[in-house]
Amino acid sequence: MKSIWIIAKLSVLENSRKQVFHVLCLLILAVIAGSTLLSVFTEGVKIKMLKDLCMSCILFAGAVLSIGLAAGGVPNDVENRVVYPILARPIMRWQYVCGKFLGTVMTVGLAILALSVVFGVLIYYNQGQIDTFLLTAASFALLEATVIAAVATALSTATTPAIAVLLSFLMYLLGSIKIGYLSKLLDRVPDSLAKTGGMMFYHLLPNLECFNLKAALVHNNSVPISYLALVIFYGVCYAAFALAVAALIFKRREV
Amino acid sequence: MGRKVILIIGICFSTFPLLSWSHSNAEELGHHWEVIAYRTEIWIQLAIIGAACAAYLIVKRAAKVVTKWLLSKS
Repeated sequence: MKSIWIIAKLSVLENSRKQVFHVLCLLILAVIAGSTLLSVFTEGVKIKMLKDLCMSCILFAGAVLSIGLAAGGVPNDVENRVVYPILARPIMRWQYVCGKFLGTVMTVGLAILALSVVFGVLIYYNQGQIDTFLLTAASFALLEATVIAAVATALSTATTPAIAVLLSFLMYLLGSIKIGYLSKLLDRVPDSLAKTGGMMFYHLLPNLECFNLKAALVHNNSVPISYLALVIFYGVCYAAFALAVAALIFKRREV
Repeated sequence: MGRKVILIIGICFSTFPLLSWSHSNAEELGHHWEVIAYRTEIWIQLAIIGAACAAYLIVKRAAKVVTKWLLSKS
C-alpha cells in the first residue's frame, strides 16, 4: 500500500505540471467566471442556467482530464524509460498501475474541488445560501471521472497513447448517450448477428449517464438514497474491474 | 505536446453540444433515477463483472490443477 501511495504522489506531481491540466482548468474557470454575465435573464432562470452551465463544465473537465492524464500516464513512462528504475525496485506491476491510476484520480479530484469551490461561491453570491447538493453532484462527477480514468488506464496499457485517447473519448461519448440513444439505435438493427455483437458492446460500455446529477441540482429534485448507493457501488465495481484488466494486461506486457 | 493539447481540447469542445443535446432529451424521457432501464442496466453490468471475475478465477484454478497433474505424470 505504501508503494502505491508513493507512486500516486509522484504521479500527482507529474500530472499537475502537464499543459493539458493547466489549459483545461483555466478554460473551464474562465467559462464558469463568464457565466456571471448571464444577467440578462430573470433571477430564477439565471440561477438555473448558472447551475446547468457550471455543472456541465465540471463534468466535462473531469472526464477530459481523466482521459488526457490517464491515457498517457503508463505509456509515456514506458517510452521515456522512467518505468525501468521503478520496476527494478520491489514493486509489483499491479501496484505501479494502481499508483498511476490513483495519482490521476487525485489530480482530477483537485481540479474538480477547485472548480466546485468557484461554483459554490457563485451560487452563494447569486442565491444567498450554499447549495448542499453541490457536494453530492461534485462527488458523483469525481466518481464518473474515476470510471473514465480506469477505462483509459486499461486502454493505455494495451495500445499507444493516441489510440487510447481516441478510444476513451469514444467510450465516454457512447457511455454518455448509452440508454437514451444507443439502446433505441440497437432496437432498429435488422440483422441478428450485428444486433448480438452490438448488444455485447453495449453492455461493456460504462453507464456514465447515471453519474450525472446536474438535473437534480438545477431543478432542486431529490434523488433516492438507494439509487445513489447503487450508483456508488456500480462505479467502484466498474473502476476496480477496469483497473484489474489494466493490471493483468500490464503484467503480461513486455516493457 | 502543444499539438496534442490543441487536438484534445478541439475534440472535447466538439463533443460538448452532443452531450448537452443528450441531456435535454433525457429530461423528456424522465430523470435517470426515475427510469427503470438505468437500474436494470446497472444490475446487468454488475452481473457481467461478477461472472467475468468468477470465470477468470475458475480458469486460473483449473490451469493450476492441470499443470500440477501434468507435472506429477511426467
